[in-house]
Amino acid sequence: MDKWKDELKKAFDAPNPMKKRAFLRSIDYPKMSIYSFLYSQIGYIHKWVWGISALFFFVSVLGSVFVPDNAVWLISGLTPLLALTIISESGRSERYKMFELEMATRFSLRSVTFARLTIISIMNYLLLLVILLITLFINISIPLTSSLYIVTPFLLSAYTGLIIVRKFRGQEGLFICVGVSVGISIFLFISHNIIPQIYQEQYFSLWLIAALLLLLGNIRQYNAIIKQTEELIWNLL
Amino acid sequence: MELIIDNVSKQYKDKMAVNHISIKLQAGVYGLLGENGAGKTTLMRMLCGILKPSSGTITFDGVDVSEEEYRSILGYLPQDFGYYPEFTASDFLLYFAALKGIPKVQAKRRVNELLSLVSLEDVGKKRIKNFSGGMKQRLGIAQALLNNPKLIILDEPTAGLDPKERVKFRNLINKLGKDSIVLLSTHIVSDIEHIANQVLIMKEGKLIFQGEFDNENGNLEEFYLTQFSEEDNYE
Repeated sequence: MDKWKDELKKAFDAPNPMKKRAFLRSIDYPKMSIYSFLYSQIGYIHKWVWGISALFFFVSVLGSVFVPDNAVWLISGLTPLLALTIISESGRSERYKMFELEMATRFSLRSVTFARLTIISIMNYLLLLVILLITLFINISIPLTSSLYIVTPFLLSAYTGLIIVRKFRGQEGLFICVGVSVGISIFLFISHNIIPQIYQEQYFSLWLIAALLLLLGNIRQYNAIIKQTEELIWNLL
Repeated sequence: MELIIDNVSKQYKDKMAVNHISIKLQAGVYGLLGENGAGKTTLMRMLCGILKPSSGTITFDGVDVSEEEYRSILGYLPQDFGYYPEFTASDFLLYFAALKGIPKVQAKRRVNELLSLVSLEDVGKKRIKNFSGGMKQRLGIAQALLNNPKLIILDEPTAGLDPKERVKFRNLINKLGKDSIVLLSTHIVSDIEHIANQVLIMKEGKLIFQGEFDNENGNLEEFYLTQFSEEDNYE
């Protein structure tokens, strides 16, 4: 059979395709679903985001094992670093001048930003939960309320970072975020020594209110960033 | 296939960047000419749904510019674009294939096809940061064609291309114009002369000329300059 095919190929010149593009367009290819799209975006999240998350996880676990008395302060001081992963990804399109191309695609920049922020946020909250469980499991003496001293700084760093990224464009915004995160981190490392009273049990309700307010603030900033992706060009002209 | 631009304007504070433009485009190649600041890029951005018009509507076969369905038939090359630093040419195209909703298997095939079409198949695995301006521009053109678009909008597509690449590009656009609406802007009048079936000329946000232009009508460059000098004389 193959021999016949070869002979036929030699004997006759295949005609040039006619209306090839129109034919290809007429084929109803399966379109990518929103779930496949979300999944596809995992691969495009910058590698350093995964690296930072892994570093946070290992240092936190090691801290819980080797310095159990200071584990909460150590993890608390590292959370701004974890929050930077959300912040860095949110302004990436603009930093690398990809936004104009991304805005004109089927899923558009809005979907890209939504997908990446959602993936990283879910990953960060899961990571915090796992770290908390590990820390509390290893150090039974640590009260459950201490989890607020870890979650609240994380929410604070993410919230301030998202505001900064929205107000300051490009690389400049990221540098400011890094500075602010480092500042929060240093404060957290030393605060339990210099102002231990803020960690007293009587202030627990204030910590809880702060955490809830910051959570709402984060949701608000998150929506504002996604909405802003529709208006990027407006600010450039 | 019909793109209807109906009374579209774009205003920034006191400036009318695009001033009440109405036009119907069908399959073919349209060359958009105009001085810097004439409103070409603003018009193109509105046609891509990147900018919202201050007034007027843009529809393709009845589908509004703001809809996902509109963007799924669109191919766009902006005047200037970047890339994520870790991207190779293949990564770049596969990334945009995902954003255009093309499933992975088809995307891989299409990426290889397009890399070959723009003569970048040998450097598909190389990082874009090592590319020349012309190579980057060809990659941008390939990206615009990923989804077999019915509406192709190219802002200064020949910038950075050498003469040989420019001729190849013209041939490609000629083919695409047979069953797509291709709108391209350029400062190089000869590109429009060789490619476009129709010429559109913009000045100060307004469309001051729209029509066919062939060599029997004279030299397009002279005609283009005349349009501006006459207008200038009035001022």
